[in-house]
Amino acid sequence: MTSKTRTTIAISALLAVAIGLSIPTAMATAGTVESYWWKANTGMCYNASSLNNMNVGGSTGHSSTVITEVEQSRGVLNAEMNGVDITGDAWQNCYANHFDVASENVADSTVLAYELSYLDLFDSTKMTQSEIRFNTDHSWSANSSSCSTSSLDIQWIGNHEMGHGIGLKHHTHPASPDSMMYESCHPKYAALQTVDKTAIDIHYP
Amino acid sequence: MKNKNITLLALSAVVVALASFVAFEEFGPTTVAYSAAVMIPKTPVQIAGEADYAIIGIVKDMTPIRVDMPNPGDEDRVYTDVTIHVLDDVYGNHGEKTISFRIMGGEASKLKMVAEESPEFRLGETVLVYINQDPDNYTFQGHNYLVGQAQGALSIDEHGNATDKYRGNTFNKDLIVSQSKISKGV
Repeated sequence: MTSKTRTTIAISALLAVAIGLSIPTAMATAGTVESYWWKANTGMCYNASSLNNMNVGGSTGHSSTVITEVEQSRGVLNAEMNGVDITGDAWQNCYANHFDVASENVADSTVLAYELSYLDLFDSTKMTQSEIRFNTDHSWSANSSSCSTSSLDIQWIGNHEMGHGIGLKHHTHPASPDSMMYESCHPKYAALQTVDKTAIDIHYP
Repeated sequence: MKNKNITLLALSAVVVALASFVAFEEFGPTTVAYSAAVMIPKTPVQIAGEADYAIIGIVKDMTPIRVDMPNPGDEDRVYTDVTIHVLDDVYGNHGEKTISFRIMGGEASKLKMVAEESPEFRLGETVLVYINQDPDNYTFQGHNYLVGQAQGALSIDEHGNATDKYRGNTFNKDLIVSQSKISKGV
């Protein structure tokens, strides 16, 4: 075998390794957003048919109300992101690629909502998807300012779950809740509190 | 000679590509996901009032499983199926030697899911668990689940103490059992 042949084989092998690695990488990060309704240039997607299953104000079929409330949550966070524009093109450079908002039959009535954060396979400081799920077991409301399961304030819970989506963890301070990220629903969910703003400043300097 | 080299080259490329693909799948990085829920804080007695079963038993098996969720847009999740060897059927008339339930979290098939609201168990541990069944639930795919997630699981020690796996509060096991029965109305 000539040296030229050996060189060719070596280069081919390296290319093959690169291809071999790229296949599972692409598979691991592929999204399934085809059946979702994407709001233009917001970087956020909603499963509108799923959100229609939420009981809002005593009846179902109010996905637009839920979306309006969650959009307000996004505005709450966006205002504090220190110049990181989480809308439009810049969204792709943010920690999260997108938020995915839907409802779910969680069954366990002690759960109001939850959020799943999927991290980048090769870079755990980046999130590839944030799934926010509202429990259909409860009754929801726009602007109720309430944590009651008969009229849960959508935006309050949205604020909290989106806080997870940008990387904030639960704040556990049972004696005196002072964070939107307190572990159970509380009037502090209404807006970012000082400790939340500090956390965002650290996370998004 | 030239054709032979090209064939050898192509074969080498295919073999190396396949080998690297397999190696990546076997030894490559694991995707990590975190789950955090807004829970209603409840005491064990309050949890008891909502549970179908209250069981004292020994953790016999824990099997993590990666689940391809059916709803469009849902990424895969990892759950752990926990099997308990029943020592005391506190209420619910379960009647079997074992009972299983599903909790979110675990690691399987290159996905690690860390669920803040889920309890951690160890094999051989004696526990008091409050379980519900709902074949239509989506989150646990129709499997039994813990009421209140970690709030619905208490570890029992040899001194008769029951420590809840959510906040770490310790109670007298016999007292919790009797209060649970009252709460459930049995």
